[in-house]
Parts: sequence; structure tokens; C-alpha cells
Amino acid sequence: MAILELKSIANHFATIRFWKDLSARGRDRRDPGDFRPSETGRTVLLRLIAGVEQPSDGLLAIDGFDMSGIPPNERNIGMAFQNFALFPISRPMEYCQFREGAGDARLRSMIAFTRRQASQDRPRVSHAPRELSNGQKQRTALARALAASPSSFYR
Amino acid sequence: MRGYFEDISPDIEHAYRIAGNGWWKTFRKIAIRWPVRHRCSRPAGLYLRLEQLCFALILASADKAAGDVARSPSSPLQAFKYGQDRRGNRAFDHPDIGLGLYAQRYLVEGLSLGA
Repeated sequence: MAILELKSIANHFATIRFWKDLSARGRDRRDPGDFRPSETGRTVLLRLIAGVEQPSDGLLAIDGFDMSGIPPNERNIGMAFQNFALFPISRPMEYCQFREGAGDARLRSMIAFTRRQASQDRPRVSHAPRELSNGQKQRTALARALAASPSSFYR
Repeated sequence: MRGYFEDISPDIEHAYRIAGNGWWKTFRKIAIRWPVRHRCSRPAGLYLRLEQLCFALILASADKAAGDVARSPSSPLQAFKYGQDRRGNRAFDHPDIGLGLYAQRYLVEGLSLGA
């Protein structure tokens, strides 16, 4: 279980300061974005948490550790993007092998999950993303994010 | 070349980074799909094209507009469309060109993803 803390977090894209003193526990199953309506920076917040953007002010901590300056590949989080962010050439099976050294048991279970979900009557794990339906793309993106056994997961 | 990179969704690279990969591996695996067999090949060409990398670094430090750092007469880079060839684009068979593209993508101001 990961504990996410946001204290007076702000981003230079926003004209006003937002997401003040927000904290969420992993087991709450509550998306921090639920606190705000759309177009108020929910996606920006997720990108700040993921580390692909840096906050201009405030503190972002995961499990008590300040994440400022920590690159995305060292935060041990999972994230599913709105547009799925599937590489147009790779197959769904490859997405589940993104992170080297991922937990084998979990990786196998997620690959099985992807195979089971992405193939209704014929195997689609070897298909390109453009050949998958929207739901299959979404499941593939989820499987990719979960295959790395992240401490917290955001979508 | 700018058009090729603009075809790549930043989210794809960010997703790969979040999955635990650094900038270089993200570039090699996602942006150009550099074939593994060419990873350490042609050291002479790599050395010769290091000047392009240095040129890109100079451009980045001087806050000037980016040029075609990796332009090569044998590489029709302008014709490439991202994600259309599963085996990787043949223009990226050369590690020296890869270095130049890496500089363009992440070091030269104007094409950077904010790294």
C-alpha cells in the first residue's frame, strides 16, 4: 500500500494554485482526481505524480519520500494513459514485458489476463494495437501498467 | 525529421519511462526501434558522427534553433512515418545516426520533451 501526499502542489500550467494539501492512501481506492471536475488539472496532477512533469511549487511524496527530482523510472508507480499510449508496432505481449525483472508470477498472471481478455475467439496478443478494439487497447494498457508490480497505480 | 518526431506521442515515451526505463533505452526502443544487432557495430562511423552530437550540444547550449543534425545522403529520413515498419527503419541501422537523432530529440531546444 502506497501513501500519496500532495502539499500545496502547483504547476506552472495552472493560473491558480490547485490541489492543496491532498493526501490519499492506496487502499482507499479513491482517485485523487475525483476531488475536482474535469478540465481543472486532473491529468496534469497524474503527470506530476508520475514524474513526467515537475511541479513548480509544493511537495509531492509517496510513502513519505519526497519525489522532487526523482525520474519516472525510479518511482515504482503504474499509470494508464487516457489515450492508452500503445506503441503502434509492439504487440500486447510485449507490453507485459516492459520492465525487466518484473515479478514473474504476476507477470505471468497478467499475460494470461491479457490473453484471456484480449482474445474472445482467437488469439489477439500477437496483433498490432491498430487491430485491437478500444476495450482491448484499454485492457492492454492496464496490463502493461500492472505487469511491473508498481507500489501504486493511477489512471 | 521534426515531422517524424512529432508523430510520436509523448505519452508513449512517458509510459515507457514510467515502466522503469531511462531516456536512452526509451529512445532506442520507442523512438527509433534501434535493431539490437547494430548496437555496437561500425565504431568508425560512430566516431566520425560524434561531431554531430557535439554540434547538437553546441546548438542546445547556445539556445538556437535546431537543424538537421543527423542528415545523411543515404538516409531518406524525411520520408519516414513513425510506427509503419515493425522491423525498424533502415535509416537507423547506423549507430552514428542514432546518436544524432538522440541529440535532436532530447538535447536540442525546440524538440525536447522537457527532459
